[in-house]
Amino acid sequence: MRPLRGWRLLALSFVLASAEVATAQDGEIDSDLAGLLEEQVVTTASKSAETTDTVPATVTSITAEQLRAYGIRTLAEAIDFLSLGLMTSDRLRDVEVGARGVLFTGDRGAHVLVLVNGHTVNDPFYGSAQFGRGLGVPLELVDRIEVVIGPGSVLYGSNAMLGVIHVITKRAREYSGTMVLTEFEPGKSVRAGAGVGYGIPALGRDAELTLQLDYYRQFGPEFLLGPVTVTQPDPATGRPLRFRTNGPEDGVWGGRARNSHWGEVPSGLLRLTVGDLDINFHAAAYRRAAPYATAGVPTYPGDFDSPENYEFDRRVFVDARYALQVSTISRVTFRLYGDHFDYGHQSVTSAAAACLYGDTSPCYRRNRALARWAGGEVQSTFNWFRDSRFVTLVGLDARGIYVKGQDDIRNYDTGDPRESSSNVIDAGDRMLAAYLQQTWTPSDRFSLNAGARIDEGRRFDPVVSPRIAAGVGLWRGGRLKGVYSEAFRAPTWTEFASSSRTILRSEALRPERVRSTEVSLEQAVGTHRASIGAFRTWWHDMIAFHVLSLEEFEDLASRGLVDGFRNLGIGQYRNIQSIENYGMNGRLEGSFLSSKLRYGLNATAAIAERDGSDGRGTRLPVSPRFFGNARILYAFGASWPTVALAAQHVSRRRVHLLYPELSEFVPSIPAQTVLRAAVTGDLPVLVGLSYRATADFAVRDVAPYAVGVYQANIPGVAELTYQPVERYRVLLGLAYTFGAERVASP
Amino acid sequence: MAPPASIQGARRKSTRGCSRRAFVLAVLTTLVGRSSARATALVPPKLQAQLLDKVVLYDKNYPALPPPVRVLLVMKQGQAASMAVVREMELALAAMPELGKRRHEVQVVGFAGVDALAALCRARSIGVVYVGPSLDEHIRAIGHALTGSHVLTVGAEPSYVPEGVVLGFDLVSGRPKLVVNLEQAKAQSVEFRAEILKLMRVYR
Repeated sequence: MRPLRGWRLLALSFVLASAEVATAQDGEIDSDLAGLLEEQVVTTASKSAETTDTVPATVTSITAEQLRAYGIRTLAEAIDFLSLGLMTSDRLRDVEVGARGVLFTGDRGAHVLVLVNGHTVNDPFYGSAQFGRGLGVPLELVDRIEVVIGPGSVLYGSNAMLGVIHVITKRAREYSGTMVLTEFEPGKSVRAGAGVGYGIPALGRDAELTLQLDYYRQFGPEFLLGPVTVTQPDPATGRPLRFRTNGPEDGVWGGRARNSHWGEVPSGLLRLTVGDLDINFHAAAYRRAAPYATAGVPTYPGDFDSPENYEFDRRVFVDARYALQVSTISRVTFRLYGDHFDYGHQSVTSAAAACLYGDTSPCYRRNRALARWAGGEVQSTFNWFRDSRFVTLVGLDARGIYVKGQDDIRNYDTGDPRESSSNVIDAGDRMLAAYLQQTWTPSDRFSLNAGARIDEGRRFDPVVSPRIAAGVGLWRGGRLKGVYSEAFRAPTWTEFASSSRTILRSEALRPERVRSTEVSLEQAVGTHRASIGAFRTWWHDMIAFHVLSLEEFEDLASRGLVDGFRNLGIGQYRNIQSIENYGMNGRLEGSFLSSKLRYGLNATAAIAERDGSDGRGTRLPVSPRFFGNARILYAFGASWPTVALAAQHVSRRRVHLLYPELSEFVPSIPAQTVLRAAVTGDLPVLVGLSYRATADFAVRDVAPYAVGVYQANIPGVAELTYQPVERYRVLLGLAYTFGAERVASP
Repeated sequence: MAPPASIQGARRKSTRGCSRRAFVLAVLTTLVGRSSARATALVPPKLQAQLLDKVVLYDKNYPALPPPVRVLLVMKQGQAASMAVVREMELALAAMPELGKRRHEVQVVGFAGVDALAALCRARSIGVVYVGPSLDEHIRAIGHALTGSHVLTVGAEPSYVPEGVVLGFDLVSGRPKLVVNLEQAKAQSVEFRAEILKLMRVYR
């Protein structure tokens, strides 16, 4: 008899698994009830609570149980090990995020909108968001993370191009008592935290507070980079280049990085809920360094392993939201919010040519940015027939924004400025938006969602972001969905207003735009769920830094708009790129044995090509054509541990180079697989004491980024140095909850 | 003699400060007072109805209820949040052909006191009582009043369960969670089978 192959075996397994619990038997619950208890209620995609069969997007809901069982430490790990359609790439300083095969290196996360309890955390200066430790949200506080793939500007405005990620924290009944915790990676990091979750009877039965304060410190690992010897002399001195502060002029960049790979994150998140009044306060400061730093002049990177190279950002927000049921059909939500963001980057450069030409002293290059914004939002929901079948959502959002920033170069020895500050920005801005959404579910077999949002700001013409989605029930548990949506990203202030010796101020910069279509087939059988989908997206008006051609430069120089001698290499941010992207994704997840055994599998295959200068498509760097994850966990129950295994795989990726056009070819790094094993549970010796232990192994030791002095691949002339990847990681953690009682039931 | 200007100024500042604090407290108190009713049910009412339809099958005493199974939905009159959730639950239950594989009837009433509720349950042989939002302060009394009866009480708010409602639906990480008060269930002749108790958060 021939063995069953591939998809036939998979289909048979699925049918057998569903047949196992098809009917209620003594000692087991009915599969329909089991399926209902696995139903996901999500709120992000349409700003209202709904189950996944009507949600107008592809959504992954990552639970607190998953975060704990798989030893998830950051939002990036949750995306990599547990989500469909998104993946991350760690640059050691910051984490970059891509979706469906599209990742924009160096965008600071500006193409993904991140929400914490409904509050947008992307700042208006860079549009940036953090996905690693820098997010500053302790994961013990997190109830769930909703990951919505695809354009989400219809309700959320700018930045929601690749997707929307919503971190939602627990209520006090899920985070009750007083907890202290500590974690450490031997020789690499420590973390300590304390939190409380209590009801506040004095303010009413529904009043409660949750708070966690956290401190994370990373001090390594040490990496070996290169070393690489640059034979070309420093044009400013005629002598070999110097790449260490007060170090020898030997043209050597690299070695063992001992002083420059660290991070520090103090943070806190407080949530006060009194009935329908919800107040959130968040503060986080993320200070970090990587062993290499660009100096703003890519030809000459910042000094290697300098303890004076660092970056920081600080974020604070307060958000107060009040929901009022006005009548049996209408509800109004009012929201007021205020944010502060500031950023700093410092690098020391001893290569004299990177400082002011003619001066041979090292220099500091400092970049500072600040943004403050405050606003209000009013949202009304009309449940016309009181059965959630025909619901209208309208909203208005307005905010005032202040931004300030500048770049400086200072003499390292004296602190004196080398030249006037550049890229000086000091401006006010505003944003106004209105959105409308109509949902219609005439029967359980058909649902329709249509909406649009219009955003207007001082720096761009009004942008309309529509979405229309339809779902059709085909058979029991089966549903076909189709979605068309658009999104945009407003130019950042860096792109819009930068002006320096090397950056010409932009003219008439437009928002980036994306259009997306997707279709998916979903099937639920008891506690098992599968889906398969296809998507196509069109990106246009993408903003990129365009280095002026010789003809363009001479034209501007003849009109006195640029300095004919000193501004070689000058460029300008322009809307010059388009990207085409298409692919498929699939998901399979479920549970057996009364949910003791849980499994999941996500996979995405995608093509993403940017239009090249020769009219042919060019693959995006760092973006994989195939990626996915798989996981399995078993909860032994009672005082026994939960054991979990997870894996993330990313296919071969092109390396990111600053000067790909100078390269003979752009190299690729092989596929990467990261394996994780986690053991979590309660220690039987003391009620309230719990532990977790994780171990990671990465197959490859390099990431697809060229670092250091060579940023073009010219074999035999310029030897690339790749960003290292830590292959082995072990984490141990303990947490103690005061006053905890033994749990009587799951 | 008039107090010195500095003291007068201090008194004015103090008065203004007291006024501001009083204003803030008044606003908060008003919001607190208004917001004792949640504007939305945690688990959507339609999903609550679907869960209830399945859960009652695991009550050993459910088959003993006289047909049709009478479901009473209790709301707080004049409280929009309570009325909205109860109305949506009414429509969800009415759209279902059966409740736990049995014919059922749905009736909505405004809460008129614990004694009136208990009397209505006896008079109409009510099998299931759904207690809508905004009735927090009456839950314990409702539990006492229905002790000894054969009624499954279901709460719109999971916080009702430890206070005296038999069954509730919570939302944990976006997934529904069944919540049960075993002591109250026993007092109201509700006996859930072991296999479903394993999935519930149990209050004793």
